[in-house]
Amino acid sequence: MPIPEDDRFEAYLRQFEPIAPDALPLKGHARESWRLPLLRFVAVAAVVAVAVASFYIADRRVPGHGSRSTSVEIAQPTRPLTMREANALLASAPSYKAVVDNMAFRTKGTPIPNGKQSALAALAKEKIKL
Amino acid sequence: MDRTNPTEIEVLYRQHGAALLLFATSMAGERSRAQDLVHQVFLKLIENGRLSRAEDKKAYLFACVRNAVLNEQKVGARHTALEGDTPSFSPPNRDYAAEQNLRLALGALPDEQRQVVILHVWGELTFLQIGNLLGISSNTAASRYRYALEKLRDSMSVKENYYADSGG
Repeated sequence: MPIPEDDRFEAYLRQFEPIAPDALPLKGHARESWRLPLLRFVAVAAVVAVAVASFYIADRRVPGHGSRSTSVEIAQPTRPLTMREANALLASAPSYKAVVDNMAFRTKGTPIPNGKQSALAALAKEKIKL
Repeated sequence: MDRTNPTEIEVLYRQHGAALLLFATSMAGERSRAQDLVHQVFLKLIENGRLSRAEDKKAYLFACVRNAVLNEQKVGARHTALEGDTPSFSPPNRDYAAEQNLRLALGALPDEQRQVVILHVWGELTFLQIGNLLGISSNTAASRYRYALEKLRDSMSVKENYYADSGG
């Protein structure tokens, strides 16, 4: 049977609280069990965010969406060479070779419509004596 | 197999870690070594999840810690002298002199009495649980406790203080 004096002393002893130990040194799987899915989710979310941002930026660059043009070729599309322009070039050029070289290095910005041919193709068919 | 959730084990660690560490220190003598052993016990429980099989989880934890200390003592054949310098308690009213008195008084007790006092006062185990844990009868546990309490009271010489505090 407990003695009242013992109870009082026991109550006094209980006022001394044992010092808690340091936190558990969890390094391995125990914490990974919730960290790994979280990291996967963050990685997937980051990829999706980058993809959406790229799509949005690319969409804004397309002409006709209110943004200014960033490409010279779009602002000034290359037209197919006409016979008139070719004649003018031939008249002003120092040699036939220089004219052909000049036309060969023109950018092919616009496709030639069906049923028509470029001035270069027409000139190639002609037999010109130099 | 029914496994214990690691979070549940961490909760148990927060609830009983302090008393378990005190108990382990009273057996191992050195607080840092005792803490390592307590950590090992909990990490193993997280790994194998066997705590779910225990009916009395708190008593099972004390048993695990006791076995861990005993195993280590077998391997190392170390003497269990209590550390005199490292505080083991947070004293009431920051009375660090009283804390040191208590620690020294506990250290002066025979091992079997010290373990019973710690298990009952700070581990809050019943004499039946203590008996099962230490392999003795509950009456023997209670008897050891009364002897220990008497010795503690004499060596601490704090009758006036705790009577005054409790209004006795």
